[in-house]
Amino acid sequence: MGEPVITCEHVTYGYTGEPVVQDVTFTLGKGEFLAVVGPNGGGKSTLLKLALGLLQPQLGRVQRALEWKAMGYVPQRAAAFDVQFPGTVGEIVSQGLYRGPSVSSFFQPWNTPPVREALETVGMWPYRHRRIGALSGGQQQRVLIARALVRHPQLLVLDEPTEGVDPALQEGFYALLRRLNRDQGITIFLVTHDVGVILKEATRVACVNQRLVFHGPPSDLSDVHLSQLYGVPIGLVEHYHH
Amino acid sequence: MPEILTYAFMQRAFLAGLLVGLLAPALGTFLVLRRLSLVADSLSHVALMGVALGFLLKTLPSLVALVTTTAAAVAIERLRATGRLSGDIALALFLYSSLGVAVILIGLAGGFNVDLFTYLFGSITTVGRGDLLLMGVLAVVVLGVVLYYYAELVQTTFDPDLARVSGVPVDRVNIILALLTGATVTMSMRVVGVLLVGALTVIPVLASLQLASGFRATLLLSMAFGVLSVLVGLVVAFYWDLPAGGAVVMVSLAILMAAAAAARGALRLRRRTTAADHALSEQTTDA
Repeated sequence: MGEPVITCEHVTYGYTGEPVVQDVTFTLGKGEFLAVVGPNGGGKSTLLKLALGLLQPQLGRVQRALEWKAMGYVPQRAAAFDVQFPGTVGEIVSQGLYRGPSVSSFFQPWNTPPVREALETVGMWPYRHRRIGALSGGQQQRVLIARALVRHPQLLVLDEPTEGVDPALQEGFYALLRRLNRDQGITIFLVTHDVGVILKEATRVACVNQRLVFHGPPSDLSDVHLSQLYGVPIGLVEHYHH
Repeated sequence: MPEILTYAFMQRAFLAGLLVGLLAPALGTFLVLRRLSLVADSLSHVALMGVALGFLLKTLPSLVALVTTTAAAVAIERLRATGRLSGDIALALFLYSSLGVAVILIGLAGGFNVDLFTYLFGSITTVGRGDLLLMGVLAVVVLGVVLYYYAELVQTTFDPDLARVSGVPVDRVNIILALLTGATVTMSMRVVGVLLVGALTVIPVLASLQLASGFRATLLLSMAFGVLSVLVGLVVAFYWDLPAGGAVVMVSLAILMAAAAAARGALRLRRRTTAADHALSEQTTDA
């Protein structure tokens, strides 16, 4: 494992008294591709927000070795924005280049080379003048990924990024994540319900259902862990995106 | 010089209206997209409570009103941002509770000899020189801060969590917007009336959202619509002998309807062009 990027130690958090995440301890090392899986309401997204620092643990502690500017975040699309929001694709992606308050920020053009590069990476450059609310779910997700990539992050944190995305486009998306992780060395923290991803792409797996049921390489993950995670017998079948 | 501009009160009305026409939509663009459209209404009731409290304590009523409204604006923002209450519920809560307190305070004092409402509700046609100067200073400060924190305001309006991970000081920016809103609403309503401030915070922004693409374009177009509403509204009011505030609001509403019609027309045209292109390509393929 590379040097720690995020360390969670005995982290507990609840929104209304009942813990959603309880006594979770794990470390995300540099260059790893961590997939967090678990049932709906099992605390995956809460754990992600705790790891990012968007929520503060009620018990335990979280340490991050990176500054904000070294992190890229792709939220769950459904919760990301108001459809009325008038920002264009180009403007949204250029937000990722934020460098602090300045009078010039109002006058700066958004169509800079890094914005173009990020939009081309996700195949959304032709849509740069469109309002983000006018795009399909999968296109909006790609714009948010470009917004995260434009700052050349060392850590990419994604919350259910393929939710609502056409299955045919998912393979391309995972291929992009694979490239970013293996070729560019970007550490990835992915919350997903797609168990297939963890077998094919991830280097580490965390199974969370309030507590951490399993944390380790995918090769060590067994049917027993998944059955324990979902509360029903589950057989592990490797699947590939075509 | 046209007759309308030969009167000093109309000159001051144009200048004050111009400033409110710029200021209210500039803040309104961020407020409407945060679902805080009725903030001016709520804060005007908080101001009423502040003025009543000022009379009761025999302290400067305007100053007490300014302090209470800015404090209320910050409290509304905190309730909204922390997710404890949605924006509209927070606004309603402050509106009714401050009105309740104001009624009690006025009752406790056995009514006031001074007309309470002169401290609260002005009219654009009775703007004095001092008021105009005050509005000018307010406009410079508000527009300057909006310009300086433009990127932060846009990002926090779009998605606060994304903004936070980008390094934006979200809480600070939200408090700044609340302070600017509180100060602008209180000071402007005293000069031009709450109707004008409230309406210009919302209607030009809605009109702009129909037509503009891009946040910057939306902000600038909403300010342009705000200024246009005031200028046309004042001319209409002067020559047709109508109440100025009402006329300005009616003009802004007419702009909104025209913008909505133009947006619908553009959409129909785009669909027709796409269908024609599609038919043409099918014909070409068949040939």
